[in-house]
Amino acid sequence: MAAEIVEALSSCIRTIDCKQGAVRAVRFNADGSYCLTCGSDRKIKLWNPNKNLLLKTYPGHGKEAMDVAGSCDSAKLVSCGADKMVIIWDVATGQSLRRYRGHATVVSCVRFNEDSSVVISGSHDNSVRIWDTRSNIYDPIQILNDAKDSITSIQVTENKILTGSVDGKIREYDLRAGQLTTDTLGEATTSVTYTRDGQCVLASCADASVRLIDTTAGELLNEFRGHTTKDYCVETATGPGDSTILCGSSDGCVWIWELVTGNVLGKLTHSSLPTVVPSLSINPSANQVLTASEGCIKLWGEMSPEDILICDD
Amino acid sequence: MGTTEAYTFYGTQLEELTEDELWAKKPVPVEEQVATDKQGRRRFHGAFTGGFSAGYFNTVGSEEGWTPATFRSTRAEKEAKRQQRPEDFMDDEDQEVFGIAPKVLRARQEYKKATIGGHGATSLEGLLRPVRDTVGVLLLRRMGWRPGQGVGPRQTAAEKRRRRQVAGRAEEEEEPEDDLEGVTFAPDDLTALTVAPKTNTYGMGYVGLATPFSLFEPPKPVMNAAVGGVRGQAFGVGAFEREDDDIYAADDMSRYDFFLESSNESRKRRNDEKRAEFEKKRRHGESKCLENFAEAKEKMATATFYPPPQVPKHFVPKHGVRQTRFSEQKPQVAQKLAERRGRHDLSAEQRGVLVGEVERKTESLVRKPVPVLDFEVVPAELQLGQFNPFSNNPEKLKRYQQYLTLKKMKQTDKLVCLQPPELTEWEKSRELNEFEQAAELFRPLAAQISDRFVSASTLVGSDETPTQTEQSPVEESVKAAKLKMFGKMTRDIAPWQPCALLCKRFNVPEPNSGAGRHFEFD
Repeated sequence: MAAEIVEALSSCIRTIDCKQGAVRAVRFNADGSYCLTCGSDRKIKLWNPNKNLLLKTYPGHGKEAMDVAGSCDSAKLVSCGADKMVIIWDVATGQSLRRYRGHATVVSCVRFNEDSSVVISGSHDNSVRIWDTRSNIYDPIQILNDAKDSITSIQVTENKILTGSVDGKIREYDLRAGQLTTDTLGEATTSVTYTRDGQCVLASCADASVRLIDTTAGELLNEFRGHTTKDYCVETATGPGDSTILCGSSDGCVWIWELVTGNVLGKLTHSSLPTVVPSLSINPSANQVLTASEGCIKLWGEMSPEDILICDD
Repeated sequence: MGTTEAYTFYGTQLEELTEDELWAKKPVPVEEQVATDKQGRRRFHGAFTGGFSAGYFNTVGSEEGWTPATFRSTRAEKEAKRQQRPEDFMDDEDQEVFGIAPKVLRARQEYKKATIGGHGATSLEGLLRPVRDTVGVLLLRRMGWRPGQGVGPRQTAAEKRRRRQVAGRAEEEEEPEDDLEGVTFAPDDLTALTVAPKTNTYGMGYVGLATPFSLFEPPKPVMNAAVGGVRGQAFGVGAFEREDDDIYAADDMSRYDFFLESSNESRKRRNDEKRAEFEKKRRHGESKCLENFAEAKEKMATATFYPPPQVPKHFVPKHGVRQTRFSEQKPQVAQKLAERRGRHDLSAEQRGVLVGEVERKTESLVRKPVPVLDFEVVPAELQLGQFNPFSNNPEKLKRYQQYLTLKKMKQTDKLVCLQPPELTEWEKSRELNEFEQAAELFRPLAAQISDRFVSASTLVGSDETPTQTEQSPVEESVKAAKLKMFGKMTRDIAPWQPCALLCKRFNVPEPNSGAGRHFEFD
């Protein structure tokens, strides 16, 4: 089963040269029909990856854009950049609706919550700040200062906030239980994500490993190795179907392992040169993966029938 | 919409702003948006800001300075009469809009457009003439009036001249003609009231420097209440300077000394003079003051007098001696007091009898046999120091000390023997718990010190052991993680309170029963 999924994913159906300098992050939107890229040219671009169309550009950051997230209704985007700002954009008009200033340095990751009423951003100033979009408050409504080093990634579910930090710990803030659960991994964590069922946490670490941690007891269920990270921050995700793990690597490929056994199932070769693939995103509704490296993004997987007819490539 | 060629462009076009510039520029706050002139000095709406810098900071005309005109006269070329105008000493800045002598293009007098009430107005009226004379005019004409004359009784020449003088019309000296008496003239026509428009920008009540100026009198205060206390001057002191002394205005000789004496001496002299005046007054009987006293200038406020209260007619005052409780009690009083307190001295049985209770046969509570200590507990030397848990209860403290001894002997259950029988079972067990906790919290000093110090024999040459104790809580989890022992050692659960608004947004009920309401995010 897993092998079939890898088969399907291994074909690169699209390559888009974003012309944005280096693409820092690529993200699918909530329904998977559009994707967003953040570039080092300080702009966010909205694409339809299946049709190979650039839909809109959002300029406004003072320095390079680091991360972007789309809202649940795809009407808004939130982006963060090295200019310490978190900006909420209106997708249709391209105007910036809110600019949140509060972080002390580069903001590395940003997410919306389930109903997009709250923005959670993590920064290299070791803090996670929570901003409210519904009210007129321009200050963060809560600041989480538990990390001792930069926050590299955030994941939000309906009542939990998961953060990964370079201090080697992943922190899960449970709003319903009023608890903070800290799991020490010992290695700088570059990316954290939940598995589809929410029972486990995937964390990619700086020692070129991806660890699968159980959320209930904090035990290490599996460890995936083989790729290289050197000094880069790479991202990890669970593949469609929750039976595969994907992680970017600094050798130009995205590695795929089987979740249960830990065997390497295959690689998505983004580029033949050993350039790092810092970002990847799984389509929430289709069997597709987007990977970003250097200045271009690649769409892998299956295309829906109508898109096949329209495309040229 | 015509073509753009039809438009003439006026002014300089704004330069294109790139989008990066747009976002990079920070808005300049209002306080920092100042107007500056060509040289970058701060401008103040053209007001005088102090100093006569005249463009080149006290020089005129150029950086090198103002060069006066050179005098040169030879036999061939005689020096022409030099007429120097103030404009020779001014430079471009003075001739700008905000300078002293602005060079402005103006129309000459003859080309000035007509003002209201001037020649132009009547000529305009003259353009519009009625077709017919009105009835009133017709009647006047019939009665002998001609246009240009005034209306009224006829006047002699002398009367007319007098009227003209009163009206204030400037007239040349005319030789009174040898008029025949009785020749009357029509009165002068009244001139239309001309309203002179305001051609200046002076304020209301402005009086120029026309007031006479004297050195020996103090300057008369030209105070207008309407001005509302606007002080300062528009000449000499700049708009940015704080008030300086009035150096250009009228001076007064009273500000200067006429004698060589210090202020002390002058004060003394003045006081002496005053005293002499008073002496004189007193001697003459004018002043009722005592010697060395001076009449007060202000009247003292008289104290208000409050009359005593009205005593009612049939009032009989009764004055009793106040009793203190330290004085001896009168025997009757003491007896009465004793009687009244009687009811508090009853015992329970007596009270029961009074009330009429039926006596009940109750079995006394069976007391559990108290275990008897078969040894004497000697309270050990307790180095409590700062830790004294039972400072307000010396009995308890003693029992605690004995408990510690028992603990050493591992017979803590024997504490029951030591506890007084008045304590209930619950209290006894509670005390036992308290002692246990106190013993745990506090460890005698010797034990604590022994933790921190390691004897030299244990050290093998590495310096790891002393650091271990300090970093144990942090390093443990990392070490466990490195050894892949994930689970309890690497996991840490701590309470965390999300703020109330955050819980609302996540649609999650607040944990810890609303502790987020008093949340202060750090």
